[in-house]
Amino acid sequence: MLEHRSAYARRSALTGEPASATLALVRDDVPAGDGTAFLAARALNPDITAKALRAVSEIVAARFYVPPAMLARILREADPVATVGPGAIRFEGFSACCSAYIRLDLADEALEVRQRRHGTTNVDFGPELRAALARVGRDSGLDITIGADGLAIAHESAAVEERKVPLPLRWIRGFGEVQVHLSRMRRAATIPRVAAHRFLRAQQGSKSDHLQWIMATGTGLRSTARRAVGAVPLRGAHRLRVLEPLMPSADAMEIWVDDKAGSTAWVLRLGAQRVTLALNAEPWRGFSGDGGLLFALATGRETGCAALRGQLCWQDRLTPDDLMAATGLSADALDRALATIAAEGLVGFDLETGAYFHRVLPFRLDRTERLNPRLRAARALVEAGAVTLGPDAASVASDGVTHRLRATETALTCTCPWYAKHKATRGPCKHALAVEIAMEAARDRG
Amino acid sequence: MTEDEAAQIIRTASAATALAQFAEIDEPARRQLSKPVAAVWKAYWKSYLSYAPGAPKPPEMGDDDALRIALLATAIPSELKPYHMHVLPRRLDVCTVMGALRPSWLDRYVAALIDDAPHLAGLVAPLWRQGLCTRPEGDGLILAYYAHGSGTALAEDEPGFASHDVWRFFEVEGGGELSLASHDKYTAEAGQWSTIVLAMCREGALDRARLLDASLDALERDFGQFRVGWYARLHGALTPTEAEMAVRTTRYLRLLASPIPPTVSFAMKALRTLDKAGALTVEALLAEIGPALQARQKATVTSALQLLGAAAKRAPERSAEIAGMAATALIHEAADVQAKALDLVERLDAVAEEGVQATLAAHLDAAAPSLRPRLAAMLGTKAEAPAATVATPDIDTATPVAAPVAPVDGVDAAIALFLDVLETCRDPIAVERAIDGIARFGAAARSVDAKLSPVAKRGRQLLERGGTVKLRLALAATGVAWAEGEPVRTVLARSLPETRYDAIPENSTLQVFLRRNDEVIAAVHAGRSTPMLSLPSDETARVDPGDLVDRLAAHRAGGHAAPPHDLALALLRLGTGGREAAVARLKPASEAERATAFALGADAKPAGDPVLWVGAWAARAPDTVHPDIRRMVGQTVPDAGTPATLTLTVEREGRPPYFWCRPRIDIAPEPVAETQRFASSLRLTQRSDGFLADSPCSTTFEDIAWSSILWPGRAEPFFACAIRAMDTDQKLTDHFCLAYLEPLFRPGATCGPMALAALAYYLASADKAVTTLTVDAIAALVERRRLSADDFAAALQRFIATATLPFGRWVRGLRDVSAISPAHAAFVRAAIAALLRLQSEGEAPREFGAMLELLFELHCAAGTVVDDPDARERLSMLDGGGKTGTFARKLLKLSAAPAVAP
Repeated sequence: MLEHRSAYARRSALTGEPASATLALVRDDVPAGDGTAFLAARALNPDITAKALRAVSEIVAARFYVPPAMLARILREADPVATVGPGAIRFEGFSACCSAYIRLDLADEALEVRQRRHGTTNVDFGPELRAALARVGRDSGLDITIGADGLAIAHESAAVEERKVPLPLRWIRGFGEVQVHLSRMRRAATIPRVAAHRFLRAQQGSKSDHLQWIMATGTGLRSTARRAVGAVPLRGAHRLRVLEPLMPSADAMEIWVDDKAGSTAWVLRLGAQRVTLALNAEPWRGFSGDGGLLFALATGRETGCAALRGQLCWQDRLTPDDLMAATGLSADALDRALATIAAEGLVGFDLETGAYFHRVLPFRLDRTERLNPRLRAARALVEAGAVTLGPDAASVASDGVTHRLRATETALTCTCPWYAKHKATRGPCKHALAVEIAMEAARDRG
Repeated sequence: MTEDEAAQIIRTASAATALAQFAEIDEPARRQLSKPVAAVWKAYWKSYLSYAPGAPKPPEMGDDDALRIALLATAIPSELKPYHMHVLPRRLDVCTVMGALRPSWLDRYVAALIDDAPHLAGLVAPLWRQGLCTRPEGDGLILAYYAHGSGTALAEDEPGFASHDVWRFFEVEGGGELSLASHDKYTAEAGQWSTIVLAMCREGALDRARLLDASLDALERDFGQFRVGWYARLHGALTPTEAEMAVRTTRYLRLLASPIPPTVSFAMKALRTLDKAGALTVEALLAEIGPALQARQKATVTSALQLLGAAAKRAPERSAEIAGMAATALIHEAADVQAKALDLVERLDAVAEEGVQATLAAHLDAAAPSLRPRLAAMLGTKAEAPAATVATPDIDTATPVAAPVAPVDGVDAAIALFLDVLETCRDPIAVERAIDGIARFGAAARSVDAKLSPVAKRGRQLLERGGTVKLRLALAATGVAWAEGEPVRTVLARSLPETRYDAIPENSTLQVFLRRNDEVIAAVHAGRSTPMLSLPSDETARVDPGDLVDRLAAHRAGGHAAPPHDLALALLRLGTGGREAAVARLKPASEAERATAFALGADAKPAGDPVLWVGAWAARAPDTVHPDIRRMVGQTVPDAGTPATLTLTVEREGRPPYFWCRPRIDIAPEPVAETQRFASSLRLTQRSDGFLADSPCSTTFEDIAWSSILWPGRAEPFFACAIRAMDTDQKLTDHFCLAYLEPLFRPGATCGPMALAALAYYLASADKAVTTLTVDAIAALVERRRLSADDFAAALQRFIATATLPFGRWVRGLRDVSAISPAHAAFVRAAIAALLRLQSEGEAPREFGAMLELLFELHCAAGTVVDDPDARERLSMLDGGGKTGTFARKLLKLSAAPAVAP
């Protein structure tokens, strides 16, 4: 557990008359009285924006899986992260169990921006605010500010409001890993509003952990219990429930899938706003544990990272081609550098544009990555001299067993239970990582 | 005080003396004594918890409260936390103790104790009431009031309850057993919190207006459905007057957006009252009614449409806007709700409005087929003509094309596959490939140092861990036996003795697996590399006769006899095509080859090992009695030379008002204890009177899936097990019964009476995964022309006739099947028509109307009519009221629409 302490000068609140309500989102770590707001804008479709923000908050407050020996209260509600970029405002966060990631992208067309300053911050977002957002209607006015002080906030205490949010490491690591999933996804279907709404209505509201396969038909979506050609896997369909209130305002729903990991993304287009809900393959599987960045982190060098970091300036669209041209890095070197900075939470991935965007998360991700248990175990194996490299295979002596690893076209196979269970869907096993580290060292030695 | 003196006090002193002595020294000095005191406490606690004979004796002491006082005097809260209330003295007042000791951490301790175990608040409440600690103000104290038994008593003594704490009831939801809803559900009315709060309100102790507002506040919070009901009931029990409701109109309107359906119904009821009283403005209604029109509950949407209709009368100038909103109710799946929405749109004369047209057009494809012509007319277009009628096809009996099963091709692949199936053994064909991999490359793998160390280690781990998946345990034992050069049975007997809960029972089909694996491992240890005889040749799980002859030849070439259990299993799986060509190549020299030739159709005189010959009989002619086989077996054993007959009886059991359905399967001739001794096939034809533990297929997906390929040519005994295993009320994350449906997806699957009954029964399961897979199975069988609508309807009728299972589940299942394609819709139409024919005169189930509604919509979609005279006659007899009568008449009135080619 890494304790991340959010210090808010005030509590966020929705105030004012319905016709001119102000949503004052209080940002993290800025003293009261600091008048510099990240954002001051007016929502052009207030009811939709309010519902979408509520959806973000609902996911962040949700827990779709509680590990057996864990008391529910250990994981307290975290706060969404808001990024103000040059062309879009983004609110993103994970469910407490880390199996669901949600992001609201507010394009400039959705807001009348009066003031903007690029940055990323936590915003205080509690249940009271969520309840208040439910009251924003079509005819309401909604001003959004992100700053240290709420505007005209009536608060019962003048004291600084400090909330201690003990965030598990996995919640934070998820930010690095989820973009690996998103960047691998392909669009499986685009479904018109009514058909998509019917599909969501047909899903059980209660917890449902069985695996179903969703396939597009001529008239909408159909779910089957067996894999079918073109079908998308979905387990834990109750996680989609958060999208249902948004459906009447949606233009269409897109379904994206990462064929390798089995994760999916459900994107609602709401005019100039977009809600992306990414679900990991199983509700009990957090994005954080998927190890998509491990190879890059295990063998990653700082080569290229500095050049890449130098290019980051809150862009909404960072494509590999542009970055290669700007940094002079090769595709392979750029991939590794991107993985390294992604692990630091410096980039997210946008399905719509097929490009990365820059943000600076308000957490220290570099430290959490070093604490990755698989990576740590792999380094220990290398240091203990457990890895033997051969011409067509490698072996790793671990816990009294010799595991043999072979290179296939897509991954290193291993004889350990982790590989037998997960193959390459959840990143490499510690033995494969150890072999990669040893090979990298061997290459360095020439 | 020294450590020895402290120990002496614990051993000999009374609690009062101990308290006096520890109170004399200050807290830091007491803390120095914590180690020896904690050691005594841990020893005491260990003996306290243990009831086992031979458990450690408690430390010697005169008064255990003296030990508790010593612990409280020397420990800190984190050390006390694991023991909850057990560290508090039992015979001394807690205030006396804490008043004497005055620990600096008392506030923290009390707050943590209440947070961890709110029901213990009553034990420590006197502490803050006497000023010894600060009252904790967290949610834990409020949850303490929700505790059964102690909660209301705590309130009686708590001075700030009426002024402060009770109002936090409306902010703190609770969970599990600690909630207001849970408390009141399991408490007599007089002791319920709602009764107490209402009484306090009547007495003036609680402000009525504030209670009304607070209960609405709670309904606006994201509380769970079960828990939020308490607040709605409290609000209702306060019976607000119209005036009180009128000032809260906006609050009720806001609740229409609640994600909790009963809260929306609650708000809708209040709004109807307000509407009647004229207290609901059109402006406010239109601003908030949207979510109610999208609700899943029919009554909510219907009420919302009624409110809109009334609003339109009061504000006719807003008719277009109201019609546009009403049109959004078309999202509802029910045809009658959609019809009501269209009625309102038409009544408002706003069909031509641009916004209304757009909404109507968006819903055209999703509207009920019976309403599409009407909707199309409103849009000024023509409804899409139904596709040309698809006739119900004849049953296809052709030999299916199935993907071949490829054996593994090397040592590394064999080890990798075995390690894979050790982790995931849901695919029985993969499991068989893995064992075949051992048979082919097992000896070579043993010759390389440490090659099998991962197999041995993982196998040992899994055996040590045990578990319910017996196939995995059998695989683990096989892996350890492979690596360590022992028989499988020896490893198993050592690791899983029969007394263990997860031992593989003697009647399990997995005994067949183990016997066969024992033969494979013995051959590997003898250094032989031969193919496994029983490896399925393709995904139907059948062994191709040609393949079997080739494998037998490999054994003969190696100069060793064919293993009997492996061959018996291969014969059970023997395919039907190519037998003549195979037998022509076989020159029988051994008993195994003679039995194989017999199985393939050659003349042979059964003699020798009954296991082999019963297998050969099962492959050759399992439907006819064979006297020689019966003689070998020694008595009449079902499916051992004497065909077994399975008879299903579906009975209604129970007494009013609780009835349930009990399918019973009788086997003739009756199974005897000897059944298990003979060929592997017999394991499925066993008596089982309904206890899951008795099922030869076991109760996990993996075990059942492997059992499904035991005797693929005769699946009826397997489906009999499927029927016995199903509990239609059971909902599981990974329902083991899903495995029983797997054979129906294999090419060439056929449906006998047991398979049909299993499909009908499984469609009524409460588990969504089971019903979805059953729908898929029916769809696959229809697609492959392997399912007769008449036979399926007959199987369904046996369960319907008991009137014990929720009828709606069958309707939903058939609706899902019909939505797949026109051919599937035709199958469902034919099945419902057949079902109709099976209904006794005037005795159709009350819910049959839902089935007729589905039939009506399907005929509307296809442009067809019920043309079967018997079915029409039955329809004409259903002349009563209600849905059944209404849709019977509608079906009779239906006229065929001209169809177009698809």
